[in-house]
Amino acid sequence: MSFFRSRVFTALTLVLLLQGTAYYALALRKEATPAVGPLALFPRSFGNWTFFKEQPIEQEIIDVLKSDDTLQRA
Amino acid sequence: MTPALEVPVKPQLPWTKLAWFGALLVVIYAPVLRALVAQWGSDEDMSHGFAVPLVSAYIIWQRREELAAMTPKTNWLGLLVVIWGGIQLIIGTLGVELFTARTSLIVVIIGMVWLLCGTKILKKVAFPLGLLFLMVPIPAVLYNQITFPLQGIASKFAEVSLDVLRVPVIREGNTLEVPNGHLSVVEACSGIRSLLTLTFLSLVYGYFFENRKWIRAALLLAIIPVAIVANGSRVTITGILYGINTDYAEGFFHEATGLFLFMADFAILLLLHRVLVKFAQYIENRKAVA
Repeated sequence: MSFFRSRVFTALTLVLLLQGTAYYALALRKEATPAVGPLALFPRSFGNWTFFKEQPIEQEIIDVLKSDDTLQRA
Repeated sequence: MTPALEVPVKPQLPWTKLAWFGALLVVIYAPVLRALVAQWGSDEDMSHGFAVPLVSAYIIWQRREELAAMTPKTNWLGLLVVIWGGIQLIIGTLGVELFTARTSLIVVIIGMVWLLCGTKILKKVAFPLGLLFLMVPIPAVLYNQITFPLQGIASKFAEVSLDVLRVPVIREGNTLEVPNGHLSVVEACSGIRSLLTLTFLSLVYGYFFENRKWIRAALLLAIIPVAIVANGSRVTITGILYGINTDYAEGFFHEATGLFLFMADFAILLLLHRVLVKFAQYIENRKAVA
Protein backbone atom coordinates (compact mmCIF):
# COMPACT_ATOMS: atom_id res chain seq x y z
CA MET A 1 0.00 0.00 0.00
CA SER A 2 3.06 2.24 -0.24
CA PHE A 3 1.68 3.51 -3.54
CA PHE A 4 -1.07 5.39 -1.70
CA ARG A 5 1.61 7.37 0.13
CA SER A 6 3.62 8.10 -2.99
CA ARG A 7 3.96 11.48 -4.70
CA VAL A 8 2.46 10.11 -7.93
CA PHE A 9 -0.71 9.01 -6.16
CA THR A 10 -1.09 12.35 -4.35
CA ALA A 11 -0.36 14.43 -7.46
CA LEU A 12 -2.70 12.50 -9.76
CA THR A 13 -5.50 12.33 -7.20
CA LEU A 14 -5.23 16.08 -6.55
CA VAL A 15 -5.22 16.94 -10.25
CA LEU A 16 -8.26 14.72 -10.89
CA LEU A 17 -10.15 16.13 -7.91
CA LEU A 18 -9.39 19.69 -9.01
CA GLN A 19 -10.49 18.85 -12.53
CA GLY A 20 -13.71 17.28 -11.24
CA THR A 21 -14.48 20.23 -8.96
CA ALA A 22 -13.92 22.74 -11.77
CA TYR A 23 -16.02 20.67 -14.17
CA TYR A 24 -18.96 20.24 -11.80
CA ALA A 25 -18.81 23.94 -10.84
CA LEU A 26 -19.17 24.81 -14.52
CA ALA A 27 -21.61 22.07 -15.50
CA LEU A 28 -24.00 22.73 -12.59
CA ARG A 29 -23.95 26.52 -12.78
CA LYS A 30 -27.26 28.22 -13.47
CA GLU A 31 -27.77 29.42 -16.97
CA ALA A 32 -27.59 33.22 -17.11
CA THR A 33 -30.89 34.25 -18.71
CA PRO A 34 -31.13 37.96 -19.50
CA ALA A 35 -34.28 39.61 -18.14
CA VAL A 36 -36.61 40.42 -21.03
CA GLY A 37 -39.24 43.14 -20.65
CA PRO A 38 -42.54 43.26 -22.56
CA LEU A 39 -42.25 44.24 -26.24
CA ALA A 40 -44.65 47.13 -25.59
CA LEU A 41 -41.73 48.88 -23.88
CA PHE A 42 -39.88 49.02 -27.20
CA PRO A 43 -38.92 52.72 -27.71
CA ARG A 44 -41.30 54.75 -29.86
CA SER A 45 -38.47 56.45 -31.65
CA PHE A 46 -34.84 55.74 -32.20
CA GLY A 47 -32.39 56.99 -34.80
CA ASN A 48 -34.33 58.29 -37.81
CA TRP A 49 -37.34 56.13 -37.08
CA THR A 50 -40.38 57.45 -35.24
CA PHE A 51 -43.47 55.55 -34.23
CA PHE A 52 -46.41 56.11 -36.60
CA LYS A 53 -49.07 53.60 -35.69
CA GLU A 54 -49.61 50.30 -33.93
CA GLN A 55 -50.74 47.51 -36.25
CA PRO A 56 -52.58 44.67 -34.57
CA ILE A 57 -51.53 41.19 -35.61
CA GLU A 58 -54.21 38.86 -36.89
CA GLN A 59 -55.23 36.05 -34.56
CA GLU A 60 -54.42 33.47 -37.25
CA ILE A 61 -50.81 34.63 -37.36
CA ILE A 62 -50.56 34.71 -33.57
CA ASP A 63 -51.86 31.13 -33.46
CA VAL A 64 -49.20 29.99 -35.90
CA LEU A 65 -46.40 31.90 -34.19
CA LYS A 66 -47.35 30.71 -30.69
CA SER A 67 -45.16 33.47 -29.28
CA ASP A 68 -45.64 34.74 -25.74
CA ASP A 69 -45.53 38.39 -26.84
CA THR A 70 -46.01 40.23 -30.11
CA LEU A 71 -45.54 43.74 -31.46
CA GLN A 72 -46.07 45.28 -34.88
CA ARG A 73 -45.47 48.94 -35.38
CA ALA A 74 -45.07 51.13 -38.40
CA MET B 1 16.49 -29.39 6.78
CA THR B 2 14.52 -29.35 3.61
CA PRO B 3 15.09 -26.38 1.35
CA ALA B 4 12.11 -24.05 1.08
CA LEU B 5 10.36 -24.34 -2.23
CA GLU B 6 10.28 -21.09 -4.14
CA VAL B 7 6.94 -20.71 -5.84
CA PRO B 8 7.20 -18.18 -8.66
CA VAL B 9 4.84 -15.30 -7.98
CA LYS B 10 2.55 -14.66 -10.91
CA PRO B 11 2.62 -10.95 -11.73
CA GLN B 12 -0.71 -9.25 -11.16
CA LEU B 13 -2.23 -6.14 -12.63
CA PRO B 14 -2.34 -3.23 -10.11
CA TRP B 15 -6.04 -3.69 -9.34
CA THR B 16 -6.13 -1.27 -6.41
CA LYS B 17 -4.69 1.58 -8.47
CA LEU B 18 -7.01 0.74 -11.36
CA ALA B 19 -10.05 0.66 -9.07
CA TRP B 20 -9.17 3.96 -7.32
CA PHE B 21 -8.43 6.01 -10.42
CA GLY B 22 -11.16 4.27 -12.42
CA ALA B 23 -13.71 5.24 -9.77
CA LEU B 24 -12.43 8.83 -9.74
CA LEU B 25 -12.77 9.04 -13.51
CA VAL B 26 -16.29 7.59 -13.47
CA VAL B 27 -17.37 10.14 -10.83
CA ILE B 28 -15.78 13.08 -12.70
CA TYR B 29 -17.05 12.07 -16.12
CA ALA B 30 -20.46 10.70 -15.05
CA PRO B 31 -22.53 13.38 -16.88
CA VAL B 32 -20.33 13.13 -19.99
CA LEU B 33 -20.53 9.33 -20.02
CA ARG B 34 -24.29 9.29 -19.42
CA ALA B 35 -24.88 11.58 -22.42
CA LEU B 36 -22.46 9.56 -24.54
CA VAL B 37 -24.13 6.23 -23.76
CA ALA B 38 -27.55 7.79 -24.40
CA GLN B 39 -26.34 8.87 -27.84
CA TRP B 40 -25.09 5.36 -28.63
CA GLY B 41 -28.60 4.15 -27.90
CA SER B 42 -30.42 6.80 -29.92
CA ASP B 43 -28.07 7.71 -32.77
CA GLU B 44 -27.94 4.95 -35.38
CA ASP B 45 -24.62 6.26 -36.70
CA MET B 46 -23.10 5.47 -33.32
CA SER B 47 -24.62 2.11 -32.44
CA HIS B 48 -21.13 0.57 -32.61
CA GLY B 49 -20.21 2.81 -29.66
CA PHE B 50 -21.29 0.13 -27.18
CA ALA B 51 -18.79 -2.33 -28.64
CA VAL B 52 -15.78 0.02 -28.66
CA PRO B 53 -14.96 0.13 -24.90
CA LEU B 54 -15.75 -3.59 -24.58
CA VAL B 55 -13.39 -4.56 -27.41
CA SER B 56 -10.75 -2.17 -26.11
CA ALA B 57 -11.00 -3.67 -22.60
CA TYR B 58 -10.88 -7.19 -24.07
CA ILE B 59 -7.65 -6.43 -25.95
CA ILE B 60 -6.04 -5.13 -22.76
CA TRP B 61 -7.36 -8.14 -20.84
CA GLN B 62 -5.83 -10.44 -23.44
CA ARG B 63 -2.46 -8.82 -22.81
CA ARG B 64 -2.80 -8.77 -19.02
CA GLU B 65 0.00 -11.24 -18.33
CA GLU B 66 2.41 -9.48 -20.66
CA LEU B 67 1.48 -6.13 -19.10
CA ALA B 68 1.71 -7.39 -15.52
CA ALA B 69 5.17 -8.77 -16.21
CA MET B 70 6.42 -5.34 -17.29
CA THR B 71 7.85 -3.00 -14.67
CA PRO B 72 5.87 0.24 -14.43
CA LYS B 73 8.03 3.33 -14.57
CA THR B 74 6.60 6.68 -13.51
CA ASN B 75 6.78 9.31 -16.23
CA TRP B 76 5.80 12.76 -15.00
CA LEU B 77 5.10 13.97 -18.54
CA GLY B 78 1.91 11.93 -18.24
CA LEU B 79 0.68 14.37 -15.59
CA LEU B 80 0.88 17.19 -18.15
CA VAL B 81 -1.32 15.13 -20.48
CA VAL B 82 -3.80 14.56 -17.62
CA ILE B 83 -3.83 18.32 -16.93
CA TRP B 84 -4.35 19.00 -20.64
CA GLY B 85 -7.26 16.54 -20.64
CA GLY B 86 -8.78 18.45 -17.71
CA ILE B 87 -8.40 21.77 -19.56
CA GLN B 88 -10.00 20.19 -22.61
CA LEU B 89 -12.97 19.09 -20.47
CA ILE B 90 -13.39 22.62 -19.11
CA ILE B 91 -13.10 24.20 -22.58
CA GLY B 92 -15.55 21.66 -24.02
CA THR B 93 -18.01 22.32 -21.20
CA LEU B 94 -17.73 26.11 -21.48
CA GLY B 95 -18.14 26.02 -25.25
CA VAL B 96 -20.77 23.24 -25.16
CA GLU B 97 -18.53 21.36 -27.60
CA LEU B 98 -19.34 17.72 -26.93
CA PHE B 99 -16.49 16.21 -28.97
CA THR B 100 -13.85 18.20 -27.04
CA ALA B 101 -15.39 17.31 -23.69
CA ARG B 102 -15.85 13.64 -24.54
CA THR B 103 -12.40 13.04 -26.03
CA SER B 104 -10.87 14.64 -22.93
CA LEU B 105 -11.72 11.40 -21.08
CA ILE B 106 -9.51 9.42 -23.45
CA VAL B 107 -6.74 12.03 -23.20
CA VAL B 108 -6.87 11.77 -19.39
CA ILE B 109 -6.73 7.95 -19.53
CA ILE B 110 -3.70 8.10 -21.85
CA GLY B 111 -2.01 10.59 -19.51
CA MET B 112 -2.75 8.42 -16.49
CA VAL B 113 -1.27 5.32 -18.11
CA TRP B 114 1.82 7.29 -19.14
CA LEU B 115 2.23 8.77 -15.66
CA LEU B 116 1.66 5.59 -13.69
CA CYS B 117 3.16 2.98 -16.02
CA GLY B 118 5.60 4.74 -18.33
CA THR B 119 6.22 4.91 -22.05
CA LYS B 120 6.78 1.17 -22.67
CA ILE B 121 3.45 0.11 -21.20
CA LEU B 122 1.68 3.04 -22.88
CA LYS B 123 3.01 1.83 -26.24
CA LYS B 124 1.73 -1.68 -25.47
CA VAL B 125 -1.80 -0.40 -24.88
CA ALA B 126 -1.70 2.37 -27.51
CA PHE B 127 -3.99 0.49 -29.93
CA PRO B 128 -6.86 -0.28 -27.54
CA LEU B 129 -6.62 3.24 -26.08
CA GLY B 130 -6.59 4.82 -29.55
CA LEU B 131 -9.55 2.67 -30.50
CA LEU B 132 -11.57 4.46 -27.80
CA PHE B 133 -11.69 7.58 -29.97
CA LEU B 134 -14.11 5.69 -32.23
CA MET B 135 -16.70 5.62 -29.45
CA VAL B 136 -17.02 9.42 -29.63
CA PRO B 137 -19.35 10.80 -32.31
CA ILE B 138 -17.49 13.03 -34.75
CA PRO B 139 -18.16 16.78 -34.42
CA ALA B 140 -21.15 18.12 -36.34
CA VAL B 141 -18.93 20.39 -38.47
CA LEU B 142 -16.88 17.44 -39.66
CA TYR B 143 -19.95 15.21 -39.93
CA ASN B 144 -21.59 17.64 -42.34
CA GLN B 145 -18.37 18.04 -44.32
CA ILE B 146 -18.28 14.26 -44.83
CA THR B 147 -21.97 13.45 -45.29
CA PHE B 148 -22.75 16.11 -47.89
CA PRO B 149 -20.20 14.94 -50.49
CA LEU B 150 -21.12 11.31 -49.70
CA GLN B 151 -24.79 12.07 -50.41
CA GLY B 152 -23.74 13.55 -53.75
CA ILE B 153 -21.59 10.54 -54.64
CA ALA B 154 -24.41 8.11 -53.71
CA SER B 155 -26.91 10.09 -55.82
CA LYS B 156 -24.59 10.21 -58.86
CA PHE B 157 -23.70 6.52 -58.46
CA ALA B 158 -27.39 5.58 -58.34
CA GLU B 159 -28.19 7.81 -61.33
CA VAL B 160 -25.54 6.11 -63.48
CA SER B 161 -26.42 2.60 -62.25
CA LEU B 162 -30.16 3.06 -62.83
CA ASP B 163 -29.42 4.44 -66.27
CA VAL B 164 -27.28 1.39 -67.09
CA LEU B 165 -30.08 -0.86 -65.81
CA ARG B 166 -32.52 0.97 -68.14
CA VAL B 167 -34.53 2.45 -65.28
CA PRO B 168 -35.62 5.98 -66.29
CA VAL B 169 -34.06 8.47 -63.89
CA ILE B 170 -33.41 12.20 -63.64
CA ARG B 171 -31.19 13.54 -60.89
CA GLU B 172 -31.59 16.99 -59.40
CA GLY B 173 -28.94 17.45 -56.75
CA ASN B 174 -29.60 14.71 -54.21
CA THR B 175 -33.10 13.94 -55.47
CA LEU B 176 -33.73 11.16 -57.95
CA GLU B 177 -36.84 11.28 -60.12
CA VAL B 178 -37.83 7.66 -60.78
CA PRO B 179 -41.01 6.22 -62.42
CA ASN B 180 -43.24 6.22 -59.31
CA GLY B 181 -42.09 9.51 -57.81
CA HIS B 182 -38.91 10.93 -56.36
CA LEU B 183 -36.32 9.61 -53.91
CA SER B 184 -34.37 11.93 -51.66
CA VAL B 185 -30.87 10.82 -50.75
CA VAL B 186 -30.85 12.24 -47.23
CA GLU B 187 -28.04 12.35 -44.63
CA ALA B 188 -28.97 8.87 -43.38
CA CYS B 189 -28.41 7.56 -46.92
CA SER B 190 -24.94 9.12 -47.15
CA GLY B 191 -23.22 5.91 -46.04
CA ILE B 192 -21.56 7.57 -43.06
CA ARG B 193 -23.10 4.95 -40.76
CA SER B 194 -21.51 2.00 -42.53
CA LEU B 195 -18.29 3.98 -43.00
CA LEU B 196 -17.93 4.60 -39.25
CA THR B 197 -18.89 1.07 -38.25
CA LEU B 198 -16.69 -0.51 -40.91
CA THR B 199 -13.72 1.62 -39.82
CA PHE B 200 -14.08 0.16 -36.32
CA LEU B 201 -14.60 -3.37 -37.65
CA SER B 202 -11.67 -3.12 -40.03
CA LEU B 203 -9.33 -1.93 -37.26
CA VAL B 204 -10.42 -4.69 -34.88
CA TYR B 205 -10.35 -7.35 -37.59
CA GLY B 206 -6.88 -6.24 -38.70
CA TYR B 207 -5.66 -6.32 -35.11
CA PHE B 208 -6.89 -9.85 -34.40
CA PHE B 209 -6.29 -11.53 -37.75
CA GLU B 210 -3.33 -9.81 -39.36
CA ASN B 211 0.19 -8.97 -38.20
CA ARG B 212 1.49 -7.16 -41.29
CA LYS B 213 1.00 -3.44 -40.82
CA TRP B 214 0.68 -2.71 -44.54
CA ILE B 215 -2.20 -5.18 -44.90
CA ARG B 216 -3.93 -3.64 -41.88
CA ALA B 217 -3.53 -0.18 -43.48
CA ALA B 218 -4.79 -1.46 -46.84
CA LEU B 219 -7.88 -2.99 -45.19
CA LEU B 220 -8.58 0.28 -43.44
CA LEU B 221 -8.20 2.33 -46.62
CA ALA B 222 -10.31 -0.13 -48.62
CA ILE B 223 -13.25 0.69 -46.35
CA ILE B 224 -13.79 4.03 -48.09
CA PRO B 225 -14.44 2.76 -51.65
CA VAL B 226 -16.25 -0.34 -50.34
CA ALA B 227 -18.65 1.74 -48.23
CA ILE B 228 -19.22 4.23 -51.05
CA VAL B 229 -19.99 1.55 -53.66
CA ALA B 230 -22.20 -0.39 -51.22
CA ASN B 231 -24.16 2.71 -50.33
CA GLY B 232 -24.55 3.73 -53.96
CA SER B 233 -25.80 0.21 -54.66
CA ARG B 234 -28.31 0.52 -51.83
CA VAL B 235 -29.71 3.72 -53.29
CA THR B 236 -29.84 2.02 -56.73
CA ILE B 237 -31.69 -1.00 -55.32
CA THR B 238 -34.08 1.35 -53.52
CA GLY B 239 -34.69 3.14 -56.83
CA ILE B 240 -35.50 -0.14 -58.58
CA LEU B 241 -37.76 -1.31 -55.74
CA TYR B 242 -39.50 2.06 -55.71
CA GLY B 243 -40.31 1.56 -59.38
CA ILE B 244 -41.96 -1.79 -58.57
CA ASN B 245 -43.81 -0.72 -55.44
CA THR B 246 -43.33 2.51 -53.49
CA ASP B 247 -43.69 0.64 -50.17
CA TYR B 248 -40.52 -1.33 -50.93
CA ALA B 249 -38.42 1.84 -50.73
CA GLU B 250 -38.94 2.24 -46.99
CA GLY B 251 -39.54 0.26 -43.83
CA PHE B 252 -38.54 -3.39 -43.70
CA PHE B 253 -37.21 -3.66 -47.28
CA HIS B 254 -35.05 -0.55 -46.93
CA GLU B 255 -33.67 -1.74 -43.59
CA ALA B 256 -33.09 -5.26 -44.92
CA THR B 257 -31.15 -3.92 -47.93
CA GLY B 258 -28.99 -1.88 -45.56
CA LEU B 259 -28.26 -4.89 -43.36
CA PHE B 260 -27.58 -7.14 -46.33
CA LEU B 261 -25.19 -4.64 -47.93
CA PHE B 262 -23.40 -4.11 -44.63
CA MET B 263 -22.78 -7.86 -44.43
CA ALA B 264 -21.65 -7.75 -48.06
CA ASP B 265 -19.20 -4.94 -47.13
CA PHE B 266 -17.75 -7.10 -44.42
CA ALA B 267 -17.55 -10.11 -46.75
CA ILE B 268 -15.63 -7.96 -49.26
CA LEU B 269 -13.27 -6.96 -46.45
CA LEU B 270 -12.62 -10.63 -45.65
CA LEU B 271 -12.15 -11.46 -49.33
CA LEU B 272 -9.75 -8.56 -49.78
CA HIS B 273 -7.81 -9.80 -46.77
CA ARG B 274 -7.48 -13.25 -48.37
CA VAL B 275 -6.27 -11.70 -51.62
CA LEU B 276 -3.73 -9.50 -49.83
CA VAL B 277 -2.44 -12.44 -47.78
CA LYS B 278 -1.97 -14.49 -50.97
CA PHE B 279 -0.19 -11.55 -52.56
CA ALA B 280 2.07 -11.14 -49.51
CA GLN B 281 2.87 -14.88 -49.56
CA TYR B 282 3.67 -14.69 -53.28
CA ILE B 283 6.09 -11.78 -52.69
CA GLU B 284 7.69 -13.58 -49.73
CA ASN B 285 8.13 -16.77 -51.79
CA ARG B 286 9.72 -14.86 -54.65
CA LYS B 287 12.12 -13.19 -52.23
CA ALA B 288 12.98 -16.57 -50.70
CA VAL B 289 13.69 -18.06 -54.14
CA ALA B 290 15.83 -15.08 -55.12
